[in-house]
Amino acid sequence: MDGLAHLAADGIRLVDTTILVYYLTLNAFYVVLFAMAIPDLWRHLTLSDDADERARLLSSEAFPPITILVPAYNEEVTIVDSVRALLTLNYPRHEVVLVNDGSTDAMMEHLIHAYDLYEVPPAYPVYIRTAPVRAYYRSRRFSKLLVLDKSNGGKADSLNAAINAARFPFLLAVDADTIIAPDALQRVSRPILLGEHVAAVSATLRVANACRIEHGRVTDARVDRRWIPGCQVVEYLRAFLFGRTGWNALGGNPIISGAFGLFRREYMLAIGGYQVGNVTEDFDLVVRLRRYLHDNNIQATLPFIPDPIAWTEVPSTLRILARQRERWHRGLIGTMLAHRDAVANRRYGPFGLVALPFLLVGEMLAPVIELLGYSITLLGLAFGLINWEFAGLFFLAAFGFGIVLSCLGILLDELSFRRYARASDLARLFGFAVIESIGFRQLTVWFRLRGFWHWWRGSDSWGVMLREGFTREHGAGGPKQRAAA
Amino acid sequence: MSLFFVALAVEGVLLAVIALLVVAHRVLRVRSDRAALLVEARTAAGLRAWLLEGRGAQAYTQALSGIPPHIALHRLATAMTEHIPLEHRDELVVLLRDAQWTAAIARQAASRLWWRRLAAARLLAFTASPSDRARVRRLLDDPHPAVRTAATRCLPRVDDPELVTLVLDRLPNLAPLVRAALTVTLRDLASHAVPALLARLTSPASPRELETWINVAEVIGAPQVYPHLAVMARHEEAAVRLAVARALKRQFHSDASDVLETLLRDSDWRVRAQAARSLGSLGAHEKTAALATALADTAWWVRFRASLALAQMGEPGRRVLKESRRASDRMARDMSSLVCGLSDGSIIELTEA
Repeated sequence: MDGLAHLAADGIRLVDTTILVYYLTLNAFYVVLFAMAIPDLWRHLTLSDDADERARLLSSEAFPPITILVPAYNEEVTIVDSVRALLTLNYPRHEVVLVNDGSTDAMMEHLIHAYDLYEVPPAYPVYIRTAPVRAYYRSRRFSKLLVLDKSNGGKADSLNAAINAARFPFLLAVDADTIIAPDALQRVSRPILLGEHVAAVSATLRVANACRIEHGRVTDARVDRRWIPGCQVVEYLRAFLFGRTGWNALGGNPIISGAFGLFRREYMLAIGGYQVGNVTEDFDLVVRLRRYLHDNNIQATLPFIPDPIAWTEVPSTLRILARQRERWHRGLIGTMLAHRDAVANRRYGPFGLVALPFLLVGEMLAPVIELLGYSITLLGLAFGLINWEFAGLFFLAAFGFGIVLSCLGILLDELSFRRYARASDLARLFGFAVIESIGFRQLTVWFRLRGFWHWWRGSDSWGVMLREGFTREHGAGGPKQRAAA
Repeated sequence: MSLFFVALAVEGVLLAVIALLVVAHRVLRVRSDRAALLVEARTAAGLRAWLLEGRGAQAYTQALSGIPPHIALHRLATAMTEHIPLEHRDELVVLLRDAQWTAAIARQAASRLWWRRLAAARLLAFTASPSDRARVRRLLDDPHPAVRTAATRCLPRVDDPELVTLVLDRLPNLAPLVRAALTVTLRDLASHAVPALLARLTSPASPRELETWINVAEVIGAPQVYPHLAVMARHEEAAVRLAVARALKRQFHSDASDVLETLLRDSDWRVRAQAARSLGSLGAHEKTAALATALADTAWWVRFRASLALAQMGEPGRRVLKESRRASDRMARDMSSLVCGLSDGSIIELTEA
């Protein structure tokens, strides 16, 4: 009996030590990303400093023409402001292609009225098959605007319809409720202007909850007082500011957010656009894009620029957060399994050898490993199989290191963009850095585990995303429903 | 001491250091923001005294000398673009060239750090003289595209035909940003650029070089290059013919529309689309029949550009479009209907973009 107890104790210690090493390795990898992000951040800050040069270049033909793709479903509350903000971006050559994905609210009527839309004949090429487009509209007020009214087919289907109607060689996919800085297109074009042959560019997304929004622009960045959106502010700072910036040095980003990503049209068409039915169409697109580039020996980059140029509303209730994280994880599992042959495959370079294994171990399997770690440590403590010191070390690696990493994200923002000007916001960020590591993250572990379950059951639902709308100086901002087929 | 307490202490110290750095940086930034306001007031007063009260530029240059060089450079760049009229700039430049801070920044042109060389290029864009030729040449050859872009702005100040020639030769291998910046600069230096361009368009060159130089010719819009463009329209590379089709939209030569009509029958759809577009830009009424034929082209973009070109031509073009709405070819019919249904604003937007 004693031998069995010893064996169990040894087994638990071994598993716990392995998980401890897992945490240390994962967090050390984040520290490496942090270190790699600093020179890149400095480079971009220095380059973006010369507003005078940019103003001069605006009158030249240096900037590539960009089509902004906006899929929208039941966005009647915010659509008019959002579209106006996109149309008035400070950029020499851009157009907006908005797709009404079979909305059931009055969004289309609002658009027709606000922009004086008139129907034009459907003489647009169809490169990618989509749900039927019922009508094409142009605006008498803003000639840069094209609106497609189509049957509901989901976000990916709407984006594909927009790609068909786009005229320009670069496509910027944004969510209808993403708030974009006036000079966003100039900034996101930077890698192209500097001579990189880019396949796609992504940029920093920030949390818009509690920010003051005027005419579709963030005029005062704030940190939400509520813990759920507050923790996500810290999460986004860490993930974008040094997580994704750091990936630039490791061969580019494995993920480009669906809320803001610039793509070269020819490659989008070559891979057949977005995959309809995939709940994380943005991640799937990047994996397919990278594989296409490697398979065809195309030397193109997918850089990330750290400039905070797009703002998005994040879930503010546990229910919505749970749905979002469960869906993200379900999509991650599906995409990883669909592309499992690329994982640790030398043929795909750093993407196959570093990014995909990281996503597999550090993201996809993370909730399972974390749950196992917490359970075994607590059980081991309860049954006296591991000592307090070991448990303490485990929790320091799991929670303490996480807090340090979050604080590094806050530090980077302070040293670079300093978007949160108030001392109270700064204090809140530190508070949320603690809560994010102890409490919030464990909740997301549970939500992500549910992602495994729903993936197993074959669910392809997006779920209803209830949004609050923003604090606005002008216009309403009441609750709205957001759903996709 | 156990490992746990060591790890706890390390994490605690790390957190404390980060928090301290954030707070210290915030305090310093608040102070520097306040100082920046004072600096702004001082430089603005100097600028006002000079430009509005006619008291010489000394007060302004002294104000700039009293602040950190990188901030002074930023202020100077803003003032030069937004406030200081062209006729006053030489007076300021003479004073700036004697200032210690500008000399220090200009010396950074040879720095190993790209951001220092960038600062030097930004400064020299305002203060360079023919004596800075070597420095400007070095910056134009810089490995960093941002430095090269900034250095292009020094060219008009140095005004050296040899540098212009050098730039033209390097142009085909540069990043789009640098190429665009240089092309705009070359337009301002047309007296040096056009002879060099003519020499290059007649000598053997790679398609890529020809394409770039034709693009420069397009931006400069010099009529002297037309005969060379007409010859290049028969070049075997589609990229060159495409560049010619684009450049011809600014060549109001009586034969330009004939060359474009030939290009409208090119084997490459991109050339045909561009030829249609350029015919629209030239307002070539006599080519409506050729454009009407292009409405039935197999490529969507050619049909689209041809229909827009017809819409641009006023009544004769519109008449052809209306007739095409009853054409037997379905594609020509659809495209004519699309463009006939567009507002004038949309047509302008679509033809320009």
